[in-house]
Amino acid sequence: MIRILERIGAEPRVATDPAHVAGPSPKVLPGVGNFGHAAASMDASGMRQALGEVRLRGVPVLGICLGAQLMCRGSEESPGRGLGWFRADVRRFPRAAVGGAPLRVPHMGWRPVQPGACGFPWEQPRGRMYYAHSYYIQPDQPGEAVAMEEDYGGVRFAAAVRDGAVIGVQFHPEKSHVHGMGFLRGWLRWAGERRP
Amino acid sequence: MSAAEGAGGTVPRVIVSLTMLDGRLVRTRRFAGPSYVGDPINAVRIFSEKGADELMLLDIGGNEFDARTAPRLADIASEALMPIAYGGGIRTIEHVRTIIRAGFEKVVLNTALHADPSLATRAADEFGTQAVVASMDVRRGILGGRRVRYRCGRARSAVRPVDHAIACERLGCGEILLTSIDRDGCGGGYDEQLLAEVAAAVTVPVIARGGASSREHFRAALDAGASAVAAGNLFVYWGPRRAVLVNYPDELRC
Repeated sequence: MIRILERIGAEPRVATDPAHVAGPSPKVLPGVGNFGHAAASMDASGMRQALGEVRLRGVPVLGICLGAQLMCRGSEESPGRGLGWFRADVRRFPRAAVGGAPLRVPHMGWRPVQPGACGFPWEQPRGRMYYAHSYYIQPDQPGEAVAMEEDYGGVRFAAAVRDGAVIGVQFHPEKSHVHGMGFLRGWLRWAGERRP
Repeated sequence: MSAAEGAGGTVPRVIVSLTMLDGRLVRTRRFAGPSYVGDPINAVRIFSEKGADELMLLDIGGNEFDARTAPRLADIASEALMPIAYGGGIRTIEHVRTIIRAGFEKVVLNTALHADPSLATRAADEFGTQAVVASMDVRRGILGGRRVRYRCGRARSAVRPVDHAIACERLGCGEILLTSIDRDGCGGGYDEQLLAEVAAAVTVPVIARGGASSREHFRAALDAGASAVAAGNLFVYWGPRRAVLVNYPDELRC
């Protein structure tokens, strides 16, 4: 993540302490791991409250994969409270696709970005993005806050959610070649203009 | 139904699997006779520039993972703009953490799945099932029955591939890298029967490995039930005057 941000000309710093996220610069909430562990770790470090304040100040935040799922209320993966920024829960993909064929989980691989599919407030990303997840974001109201929707085995899931300055993406732009770099460039430019 | 249909819009991955010995890239045939083909950092950089779907770096020396190699692995991983996995001698959760911290998305477990199966579960608990790949090397016996081998193909077991795959899925592995030792380096295509049996027994993605030399081989593996295909020699090969060529041509995409 750090490497990619540096490659596109940003100067990322790793926040290990709640004090590190106090400034107005855009924040990335990446994530590999387990929902429950991450939720507990946010409590232990004080990051939950600090991130809540970041959001209330209108500072742009980009959540990636587990980072995006943490912006929801909770997950079927493990007990633990998310940030609750989206009225959405995180569900496990079912064992079977709509129609009954077995569904391979984790959902892993590249998907082309559908033309016109994205509600990001900057130029539509192009190319393809890499996904690697067993759990997906399901909003309470279909389509609510959904900036990009995808379909895996007949299961519609939110590939991206957005509310104001907060954006969460299920795919991994930091692992999606030039396509992901283009997405991150677009986000950074937008976030830079938007910062309070 | 083919894997491509089942994936519902997700393009089947064509994975470059690179085998490494003493820090250098090698190629093998039926897991034997390693010959030097190049430098891993260079190769990873080229595959990244070519837009390869995914990379796997597998150390086949058989030694336990040495944390002192981590800085070099981090240099290799930093060249990858796509997902990259590492396997080779991973025995402890500390090894797993070191490799993930070096910038790899996935760890590939093989011998540990026999020696200390709970490692897979602990790794999946900490980093998610998508970060843990179960690698199984399969060889046909004299009577034709397929059995799982470990320790880079050197150690025999009485375990049937299907049983091992089911066990690995239960442990929390998110993918199965299924290698046919008999087909490795031969270019005659994957072991489709093996693929079909294993893919039918589990719901995690199965990656075909061993024997590909054409796009037709990829298609056949996907039709047999594989979710992704891996190849090494197809992408790293001897050119004229035994010059090493590294390529990932568009026409091989699925």
